[in-house]
Amino acid sequence: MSGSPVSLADMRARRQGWSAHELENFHRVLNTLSQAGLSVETDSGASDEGELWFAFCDADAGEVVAHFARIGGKYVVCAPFLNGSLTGKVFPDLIEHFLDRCPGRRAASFSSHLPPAA
Amino acid sequence: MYTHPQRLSARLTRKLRSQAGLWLRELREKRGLSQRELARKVGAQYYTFISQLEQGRGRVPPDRYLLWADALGIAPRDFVRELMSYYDPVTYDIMFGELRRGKTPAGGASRTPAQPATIVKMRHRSLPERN
Repeated sequence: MSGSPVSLADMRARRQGWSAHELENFHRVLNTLSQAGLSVETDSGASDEGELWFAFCDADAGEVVAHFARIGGKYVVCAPFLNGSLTGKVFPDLIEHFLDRCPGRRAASFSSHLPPAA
Repeated sequence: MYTHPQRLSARLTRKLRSQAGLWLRELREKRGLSQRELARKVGAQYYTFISQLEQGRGRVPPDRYLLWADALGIAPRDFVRELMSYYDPVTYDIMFGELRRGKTPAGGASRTPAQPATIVKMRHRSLPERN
């Protein structure tokens, strides 16, 4: 599998309702998941009450990798590798906590601590 | 969050999931439930999952099939069989293809010309009624 590049401009054009700042943070998530080797695509929508969600999906398997939403003024994210969910009122903080637990970032962090090859 | 990788093409998977979403939405609306009410009945952590599913992303977790069927007012067997046609069309075609093509399970007399396989024939079916 290889990462599928989705430009920030493309995301902005398609994701009505999310601010530019929020989309930039989603782009960070996209980059990290792509680094983990996932072919990622994104989708978004609104509930019947008008609250927004944003999903990252494995394009090959068709499965949802992470589900973000803005519910009652709070941000939430749920993902299989989280073993639950994260919530927060400050979006960048939530994104940072999420990225810390992302397989892509963990792998990058691990490889950066490997001793240099002899 | 349940995951279950499929081996179908991504495009076909996407199309089938969209159909599943439309079907689930139709059932919910027929039942007069809001997405939040349905989420509460099926134990979804966030009700926005319902919107995501109805838009054709993700799938109903198998360990919640009975809850979903009850909430949507449909017999569990009918619910699971219909979902299988979207989520696992290969298995569905093996299990029910013979019946769909007009044959009886025991190879009886009501044989009709074979139809294209489920996985390439996108069809519209009426909603099963609860028994």
